[in-house]
Amino acid sequence: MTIQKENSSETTPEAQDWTDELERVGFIRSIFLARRWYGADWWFVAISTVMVIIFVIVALLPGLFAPYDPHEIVGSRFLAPGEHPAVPVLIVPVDSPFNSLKDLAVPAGESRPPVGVVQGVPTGGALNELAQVIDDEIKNEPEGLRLRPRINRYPNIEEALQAVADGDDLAAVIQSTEWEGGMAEQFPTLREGQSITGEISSTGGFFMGTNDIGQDVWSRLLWGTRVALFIGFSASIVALVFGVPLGLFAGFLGGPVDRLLSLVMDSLYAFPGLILAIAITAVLGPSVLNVIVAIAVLYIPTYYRIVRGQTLSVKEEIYVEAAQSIGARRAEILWQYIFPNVIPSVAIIFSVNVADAILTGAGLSFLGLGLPPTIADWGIDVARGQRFIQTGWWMITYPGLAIISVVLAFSMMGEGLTEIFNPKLRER
Amino acid sequence: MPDDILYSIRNLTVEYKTRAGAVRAVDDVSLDIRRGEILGLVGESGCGKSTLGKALMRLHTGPASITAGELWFDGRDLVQLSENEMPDIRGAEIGMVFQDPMTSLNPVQRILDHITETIKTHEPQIELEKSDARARARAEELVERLGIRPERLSDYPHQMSGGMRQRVMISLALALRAKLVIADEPTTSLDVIVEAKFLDLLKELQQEFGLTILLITHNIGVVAEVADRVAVMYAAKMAEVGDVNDVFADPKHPYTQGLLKSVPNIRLNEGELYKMGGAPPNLLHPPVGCRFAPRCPHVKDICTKVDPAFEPVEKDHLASCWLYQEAPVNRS
Repeated sequence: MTIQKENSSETTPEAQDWTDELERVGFIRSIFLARRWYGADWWFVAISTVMVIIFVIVALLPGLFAPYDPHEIVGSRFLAPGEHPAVPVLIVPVDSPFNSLKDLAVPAGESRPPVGVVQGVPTGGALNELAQVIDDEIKNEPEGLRLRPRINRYPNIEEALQAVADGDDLAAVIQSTEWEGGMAEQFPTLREGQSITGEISSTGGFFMGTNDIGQDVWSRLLWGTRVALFIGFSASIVALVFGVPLGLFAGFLGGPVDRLLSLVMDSLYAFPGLILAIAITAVLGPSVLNVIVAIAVLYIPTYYRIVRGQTLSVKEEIYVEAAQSIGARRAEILWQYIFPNVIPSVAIIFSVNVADAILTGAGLSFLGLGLPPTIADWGIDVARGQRFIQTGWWMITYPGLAIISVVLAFSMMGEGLTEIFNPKLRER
Repeated sequence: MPDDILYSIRNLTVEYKTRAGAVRAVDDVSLDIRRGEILGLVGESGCGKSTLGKALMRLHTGPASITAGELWFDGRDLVQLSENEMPDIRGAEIGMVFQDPMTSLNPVQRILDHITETIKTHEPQIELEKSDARARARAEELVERLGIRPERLSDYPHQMSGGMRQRVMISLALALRAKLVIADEPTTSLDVIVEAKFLDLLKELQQEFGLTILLITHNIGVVAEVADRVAVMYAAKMAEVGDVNDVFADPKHPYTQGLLKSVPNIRLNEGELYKMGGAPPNLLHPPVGCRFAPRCPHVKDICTKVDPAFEPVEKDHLASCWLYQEAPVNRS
């Protein structure tokens, strides 16, 4: 307190005004002061809430952030993060009018354009095939152009490029990575044209690389957020919708109803979580709905036990007896007196449960039991990446980190809220 | 039942079923509560006075049950009513104020909702749109009468002091013009000043609304201050009932005598305060005969063998003690 006083006396008049203003603004002030009230937990909740909000936004609008379709093959396989895809590109003299393979087409009867390739690499074959495709396309057009390049094979890249520089060949076809990896400096009179396939961009790599079939890891990650959060939230909501009323009734009615329900719930609870989920999905088959059902069944006992326990203790509160003494009926007592006093603990379990459900969902997909493999899901991506962990670390790392951060964000929020709302824990 | 008696308890027995056996917390108790009076019910902890208070509304739960007796309230025997009929009596005709005002209000409901819910529960005939405004107006009038500013109605219970919450509890009982208010140690958790104010308020309300109040307490001073009549309970039995002035001036039952002698007094010298020997009996195995016999300074032979009847000693002054009764002759 003394330090604060010193500070405030030293502040300039303007700063004083500003702090005064802050004192008057209720909401902002309370946020600023929250740290003092709740200690470190406040930061926990603040940071994790921001993370959760970001994840929710991404989950709602993945298309806005993802550069590619998650299912489309958009690049070469196994591209490391930031690595440019190795696509065969046309290398032409700087002043050449040619830019793409199609530009090399000439009227029928004229001499075939010479194009250089390197011996023993697949670009030559690719060039032939693509030229054939383009040739078939344009052959019936009125211009009467044909594309039948004369392919000259050279023992190495330097010679192939030298031939272009010397004017022996009109163009050369090499891998874009080779051109960027030093050839561009060696042959300043040449420039890079388009990729001969024409579709896949040769410029710009993939932020998180590509996977084993050439899909963009980053896009799949963003779209996977939607699946993960959808499963997490739906499973928790379904569990809540079943678990809370059951817990309320069992705790409130007591007797045989309570015993029977508790027996069922405890036996469910006794199963190791993932094993039970595996059993359920194995029976139901892979689909998003079945995963939600399996995880929800897993978490119903959690809600049931907490709500039942809370109901049992709230039921004995004097205000419930007081409610009876003013003539409240059983339904009113349950709905107006017990239920609202049980909600806070339900809200806290909910956020922890969402994290848990996401983890279980990912675990199921990892085992190949959860979702159909066509869905962009973190668990599936991790399982896939695991097979190529030696050649492509990025495939397993990024979805793994995504799972960790989502689970952490929800758990931190839940735990932080518990700390803040539960005065008994805070006194310790 | 004479017209001036609002609530007649006849031979009421309430038993708690425990693992060790049935405990009679209220054993064959008869008591009349007259219209418009404040009846103080005193006794030490565990003598069954709170159980009796709850049994009057049939609020006892779990292991407790009424095993015998009648509860004649305003011409009806509440023991005969079904569980579904009881909510109509509770709140509307009999209100209750609990010992601990800090926990007797729902923490997630505003004060206003407490009162309007009570009104709406019992008067569903009020049309829905109007009921809120009307219930609010009534609630405002009510709490204002009890010394709470109407704007405090939108507060939650935790924003109010103990005395205010106790007044809110009273207002719940008054909201429907309950005929009988059972106040179960209402001032135990209040400090002396708030307690005095609260007792004044009770007295005022009793006179203003013609309220009948059963004041359950272990504080004899409180009874002396506000009650018209007093009932003394000992070990689940009624020991003495009579007008406050009569009982305090001339206590008949030795337990009452001891109780009054052991009230601290500023004029007493050190060591002069009376201490009653012994301890209350275990209700699982109550002593044969009069329950006070093991501690009684006037104990006679008959006391340890036969339980005395609860009979008038003077006009309007009943006691259960062999000192005032003929020992039965035809004893075998």
